[in-house]
Amino acid sequence: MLSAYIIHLLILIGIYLILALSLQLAMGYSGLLNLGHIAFYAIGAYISAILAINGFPFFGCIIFAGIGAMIFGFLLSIPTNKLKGDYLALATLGFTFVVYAVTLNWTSLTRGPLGIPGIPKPTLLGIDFSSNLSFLILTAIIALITFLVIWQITRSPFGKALQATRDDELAAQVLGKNTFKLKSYSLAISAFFAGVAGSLYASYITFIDPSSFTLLQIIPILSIVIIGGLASLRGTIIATFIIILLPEPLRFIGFPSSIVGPARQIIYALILIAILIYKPKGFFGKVKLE
Amino acid sequence: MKKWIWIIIIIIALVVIFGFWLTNKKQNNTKEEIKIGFIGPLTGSGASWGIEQKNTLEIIKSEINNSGGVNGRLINIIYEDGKCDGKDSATAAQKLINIDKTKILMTSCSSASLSISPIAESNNVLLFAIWTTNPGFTNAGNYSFRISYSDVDTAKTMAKIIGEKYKKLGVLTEMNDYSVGVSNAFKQNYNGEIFEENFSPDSKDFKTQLTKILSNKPEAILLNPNQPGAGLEALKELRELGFKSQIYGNYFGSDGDVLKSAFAQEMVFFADPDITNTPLKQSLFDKYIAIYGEKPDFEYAVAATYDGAYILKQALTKVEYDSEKLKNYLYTIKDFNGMLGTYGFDQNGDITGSLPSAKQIVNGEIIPYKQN
Amino acid sequence: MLKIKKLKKYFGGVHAVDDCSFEIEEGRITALIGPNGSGKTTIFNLISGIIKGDEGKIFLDKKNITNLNPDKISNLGLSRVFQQAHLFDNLSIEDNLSIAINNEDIKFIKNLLGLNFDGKEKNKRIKDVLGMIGINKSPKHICGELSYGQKRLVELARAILNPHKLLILDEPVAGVNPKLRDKIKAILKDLKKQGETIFLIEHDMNFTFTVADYVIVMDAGKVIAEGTPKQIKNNKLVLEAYLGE
Repeated sequence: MLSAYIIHLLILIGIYLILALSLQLAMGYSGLLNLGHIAFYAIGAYISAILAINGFPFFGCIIFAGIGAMIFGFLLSIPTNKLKGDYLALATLGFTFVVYAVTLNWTSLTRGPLGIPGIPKPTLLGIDFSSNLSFLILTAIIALITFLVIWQITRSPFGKALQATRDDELAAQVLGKNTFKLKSYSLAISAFFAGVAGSLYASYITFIDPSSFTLLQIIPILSIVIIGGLASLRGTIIATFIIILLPEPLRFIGFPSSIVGPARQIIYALILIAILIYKPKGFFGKVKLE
Repeated sequence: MKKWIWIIIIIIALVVIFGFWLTNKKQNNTKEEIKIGFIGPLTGSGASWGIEQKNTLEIIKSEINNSGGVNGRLINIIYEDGKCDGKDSATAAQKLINIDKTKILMTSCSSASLSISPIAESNNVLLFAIWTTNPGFTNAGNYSFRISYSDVDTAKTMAKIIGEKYKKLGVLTEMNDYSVGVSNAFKQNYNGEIFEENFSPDSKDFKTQLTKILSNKPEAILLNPNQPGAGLEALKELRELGFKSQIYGNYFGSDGDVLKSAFAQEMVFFADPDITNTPLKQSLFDKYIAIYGEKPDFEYAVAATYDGAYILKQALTKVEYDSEKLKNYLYTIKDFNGMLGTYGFDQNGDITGSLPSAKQIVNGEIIPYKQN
Repeated sequence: MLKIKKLKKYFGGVHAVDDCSFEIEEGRITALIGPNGSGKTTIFNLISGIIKGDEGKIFLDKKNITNLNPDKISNLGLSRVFQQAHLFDNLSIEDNLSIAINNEDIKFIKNLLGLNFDGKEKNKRIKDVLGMIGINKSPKHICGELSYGQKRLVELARAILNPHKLLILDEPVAGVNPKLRDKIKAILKDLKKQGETIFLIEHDMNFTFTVADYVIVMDAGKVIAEGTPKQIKNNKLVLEAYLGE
């Protein structure tokens, strides 16, 4: 049924929404060009998968996935505190590579390149979430919680202080704000939700391997954050729907099978470029790109 | 702001409308056509063999349809790009199952097959994996079959042959799912001492690892890369470091550049199962060259695709286009005669009777290897 | 209110601040003047904690603030206006001001639960200060789009709203038109009437001598003279320092 296909797409939208909103908190609101977001996603996915395979209840898997990723987020904020712009991007990029290398080589824990197949579907409070519809409801609830938490943070004075840090860290300090604490909280919360998204991904696809979390995976998430507009939650939500759904109608346009794959990718890229040229701040962006 | 919301609504509506239109359109044909979905890497690093598999399926489709189809029904193959990525393959499977209403899926790439398997299982759709060597697929579900050997088979053959002669072995393994799968199974089946070193997929230099291995004075060395280029470089460095004894290799020995190299002289390697030079193979490859202009690089992938499609044809001829009946039929196959030899499926849906073979490189030629 | 004791700061071989000592008294406006490169801005950066001194001590209201971090020093009672505008350009005027006045924004849990917000009192203060600086733009206007003069006013307002005991201003009227200069002069005099202590750097001598109660003169990293504006105007050393420029 068409509905099963749409449910699948909505689940992916839910997972990417959590990833994009959390990256928006770190990037759009706090000014941290964090290319290590995928690493937090991977850490969450692997923690959740390893616990689930060993019989842990799903609630534990997802919470520990978030907390595990959050700890790394906090740790990453320490050496990167004094870094700005491109240097921060490079350092966080390095972190993504490190995590990738660990998932690839620590074979006794992660099974290395063979990945972890057969991850069980979640059971929560006695309810079995293995059907897609129920998984969608679970994902939607978690996405909603993510949105509410991040929304509250960004509209509170804490969120304003984050934006102050983004715009002019020195001025923020001189007004009495401990910018290190602000940035590290922001990175830690951002990482927490990325880890939660990782747990959902692992439970849904039931198979993860290091190649699921390479640097390339950050491209759609970064696109959502920028196209939606930096520091705009509304824009992030809309952009997530667009980025995930956009390639789908292309599937149905009857391209000859020999160029189906590449043609779809080229059109997808062209549409993204067109959006960026026409609306360079993204749909709802209030902040100029650094 | 309102304008943008309208654009979003239009895009979502597009997806929904297209879906409905197609579902209705296809329903007219489902009585007639037999739909098979293929999910493989049409872009990305696997595209070199993914596209060859697609080409092979196109040849088979014309062959079957030109001779009247299966019990009067024509075959339609729908191709989707899985990119060897879990979520893209899952999305492709959802679309093929729910929109195109296919009851048979053919997949390539372990990450694709493993992500799709639970979806196929819960939808009672047959999953036929063509090139999927991850040992984890053995337990993938009742509707999941694979036609490629598992890494475990390769490893068992290696362990038996190497173990007969040498008890102290150095091993160089690439951190890739194929090589690691082989290495893990090898360690469980080999009863001698092993000194293993690893390298990451983009490495160009192996002197550090090889020197470490050699310091343990192994009697023989097994090179276990995924990329043939890496294997060739390791061969070269090994000989340059002065190693004079027997070198074994995994499938990479069949690569053209390796065969030409002087360093490969007398290397014994464990190849894909023999594709004997039957008239059947000859005619397929001639057709391929005629249509696509060149010989396929991945003979095994092409042959496995061919056999896979014809096993399905045989099944479809005997029972109807019903996935439950097809599944049960496939479990009964024990002696299918195909390009890959004579084989069948065991209770896990894994292939039986098709084993990797041992070969040796002598003067740039591949000859069967007989251990003495 | 502020005491500098034998402060030294070297940049490579250059003695930017060389054994500098002075005191700022509470409740009046003190000016720091001197030729370019005499070390004035370095002194301000040392006071705010943006750079760390090599030797010497700084006391704010009798507390030792030497080498503390800028945010700690701000919370101990310092408010600063920079030479270049350091507004939060992507935020509105009222956001900039609200950030200054809200001291609980660093308490994460409190903010998460929605328990921290600008109550009536804080909002009134913001309104009062906005009225005092007299800016004719809506408070919701984004700061990045303001003119240079308007930015200076908002930055001044922000520094005033940041709870403080000492207000230090780095060239508050540099590059502003005469009308705005007079406005700023009026604001500073108003603040002094309210009991504020102000310490400023300026090159505009007219402005300085009509606004300051006390003047400290620096040259080559040292204090060469201090006194009332009248005394300084006729000080030979000061004239030499400026003429030699």
